[in-house]
Parts: sequence; structure tokens; C-alpha cells
Amino acid sequence: MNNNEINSPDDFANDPLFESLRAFAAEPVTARESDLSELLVAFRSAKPKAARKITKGIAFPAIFIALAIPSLAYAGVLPERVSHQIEGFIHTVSKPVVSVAHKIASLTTDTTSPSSTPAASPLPSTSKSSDSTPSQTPSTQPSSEDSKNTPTPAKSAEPVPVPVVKPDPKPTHSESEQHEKSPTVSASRSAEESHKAEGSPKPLPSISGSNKGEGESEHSKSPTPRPSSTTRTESEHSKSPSPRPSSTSQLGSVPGGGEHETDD
Amino acid sequence: MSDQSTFGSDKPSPEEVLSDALANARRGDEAGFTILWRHHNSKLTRFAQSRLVNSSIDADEIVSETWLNVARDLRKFEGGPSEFAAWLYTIARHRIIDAVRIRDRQVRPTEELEEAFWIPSALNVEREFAGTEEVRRIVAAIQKLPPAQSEVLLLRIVSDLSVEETAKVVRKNANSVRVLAHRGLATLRESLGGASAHE
Repeated sequence: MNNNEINSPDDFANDPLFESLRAFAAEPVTARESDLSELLVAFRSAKPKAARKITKGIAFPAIFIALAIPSLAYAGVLPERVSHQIEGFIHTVSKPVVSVAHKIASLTTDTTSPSSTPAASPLPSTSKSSDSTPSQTPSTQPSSEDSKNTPTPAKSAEPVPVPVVKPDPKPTHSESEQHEKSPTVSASRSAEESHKAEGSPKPLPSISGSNKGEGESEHSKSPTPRPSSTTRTESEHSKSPSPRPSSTSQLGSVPGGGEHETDD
Repeated sequence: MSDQSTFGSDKPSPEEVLSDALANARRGDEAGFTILWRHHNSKLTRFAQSRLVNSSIDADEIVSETWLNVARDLRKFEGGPSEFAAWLYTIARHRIIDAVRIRDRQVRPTEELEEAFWIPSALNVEREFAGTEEVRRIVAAIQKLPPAQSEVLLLRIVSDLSVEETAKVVRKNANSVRVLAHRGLATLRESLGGASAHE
């Protein structure tokens, strides 16, 4: 690269050698107006496209992050520190949202069906209808006063003996359902029934074993009914009292009434 | 121009007109865009035609694509009229390079096939050059130069870009552009009968 080359003047501007080329370049091109109109259409539509591009570029990643991070935190993929922070943030955010949603739901249910829901808030009623666990629905378990007032024998709080059931050749449908659902409850019930039938503390396997023992054997898959098995179920019940009220309440709610009817 | 500014003439200079048009076009004004198009379109078309002489690539298509690109991205452009010219020719240069690459990738039909099935496609139809025979001879001589030299010469002579604008288009510094132009001119004078030109 010489200095002469760098500092040489642009002599082709006046060089006659390029006269024709310069004339050719200066000639106006017969431009079509349709080209210009198409270009103007493209020029007009460029602005909304840019706005849409920005919206897509910001909104979609934001939604993706908002969905992905909490799910990752709950899945345990993220580090514990981070997931704790995210869960705390979600709790703080969700509290007002849930309260507002509760208010809206209560308002809507009050306006739609005020007679069907006895309580002010509709949420306990929904839990009543759907749940069966006693811890979540304490109101469904009737107290002793309720049991006095109400004719249905729902005795869950105190260990009231279940009335004797005669060996019925046709068990009710609800009972069979209950047996299918909870075999342990049925076993304990049969033991209690045997106590009641005898009126003595010693259970007699011959009485209860005629029909109920078969039922037990069907449910516990033991071919022969034994008194030791019934005592074992008793001890199991004494060990775990918590599921018992629920089972008795379940029994007392629908099939228990049937038992009383049979007694009468 | 200095006299006009001194005496406070109402008529704005072409530079001012272009600057205002560019500023308006960047804000979305169609009139500003039209002024820019009318000012640059002829020279841009001549540049594309000169670059694509004896080629199957349509120069008008290149120019249209270039302007579409400008229309789409003008709001993001920053700079004055000089920078706009450099930007415009840079886009055109890139479109030409892309078109040449695409053409080279395509399989050309053999002569036998062309004779058997005469198909007037873009591959076997060479574009008519609009210039005179003298212009065709000069452009053909420029095309025989090394690509960098021919590109610089076409930008300087046909598009009438300054050294700085040309340097921006070809992405070289101004001194390199001057050297390329000087060497290209020397070669061109020799090939076109420089003795008569110097006289």
C-alpha cells in the first residue's frame, strides 16, 4: 500500500473513459409506481409487526417462566433454598388470591342457592358432601347431644355397642357395600355383635360364626372362623381408636339405621 | 449552497431535504419514504444491473428485496443521509451475494437438456443489459477485475458514493478503498486503451 495510491486523487470523476458509464448511471430508471405502492404497504405494516414481535418476545417467555419455575420448585428439581423462597412467594401471593376467590364463590353461592347451604361459607358444605374423613369434617360427626335428639343411632363419640343383628339371609345392599369397602371394620363389627348377642364378655364363635364368620372369612381370606381371630381384631381396635369413630359413624349413618329397623 | 444559507433562502438544499425525509420516514411518514425511494432507486438499480451483467439473476428483484428490507427496518435505523446510503447499498450487496450463492447451488441443465426441453427459466435466460455497447464494454472490463476492486469502482462511479460511504459498504477502511480504486483504475485504463484516455 503506497502513499501515492492512498493520496491519489479520484480522477475518474472527470475521466472521459467513464463518460458513458456515468451517463448510464445518471439515467433515471423507469420505476413502476406499483413497486412503490407495494413498498408503502410493507412500510405501513412494519410497525404493528414490530409491536407484535416485541409482545411475543416478552409475553411468551414471561408466561413460560411463571409456569416453569413454580412447577420445578414443587417437583424438587431446584435447590432447596431457591424452592423454599419460591414456595414462600407463592404462598404470599396465593393467600389474597384465594381469599378473594372464596369471597366471590360465597357471593355467587349465596345469590344462587341460599336455602341449600345452611352455613354462610359454601366451602364446608362442599367438603361435607365430598369428604369422608373425620378429621376434615368434624361437623358431620354427631355429638352425644345430637345423638339424643336425633332418632338415628349415630354413636361415634362414646363406645356404644352396636345392636345385635340377627343372621339375616338377605343382607342389605348398603351393608354389603360397607363390607366390601372396609373389611377391618366389618371384622370389628362382627366381634361387637357377638358380644352383644351373648350378653357375656366371652364371645361365642358358634353364634357369630354361623353367618358372620363366613363373612369374615370371605373378607380376611381365612377359611375357618376362629375366636382368636375375633379377639385379635378387638385388640387391633383398642390399639387404633382413631379410625373407629369414623367407621362406626359410617356404619351408623346409613346401614346402622337399617339394623335398628331390623331390631324393631 | 453556502450562498443560499448565507442569504437565508427558503429553498432547502438536497441534503436538508434528504435529512428531513429520512427523519420523517423513521417516524413512519410515507412521504418521507417516497422521497428516499425516488432519490436512491435509479442509482441502486444501475448498481445492481452493473453487478449482475451477463447474469441470470434479476437485478430488479434484488432492488425490490432491498427496498422491502429497508421498509421493514427503517424505524430501527439511526444516522444521517450518508449513513442511510451506505446502509442501503450494504443491504443490496448482501442480497446480491445471497442470490449468487443460491444460483451457484442450483444444478444447471446440460446443453442437451436445454436443446431438448427449451424452458425459459431464470437459469438459462440471461438478462438484457440496458446500457449501450460502450457501457457494456466498460462494465465487462470492470467485471474482469478482482471482485474487491470491481465492487469499489462500481460503488464509486455508478452509485456515486464517497470513499467513506464505500468503505462502510464493503467493510474496509477508507485507505483500503482508495488503494483498491487506484489499482482497479490503472488496470482498467490498460485494458480499455489507457493511452487514448490519458491523451
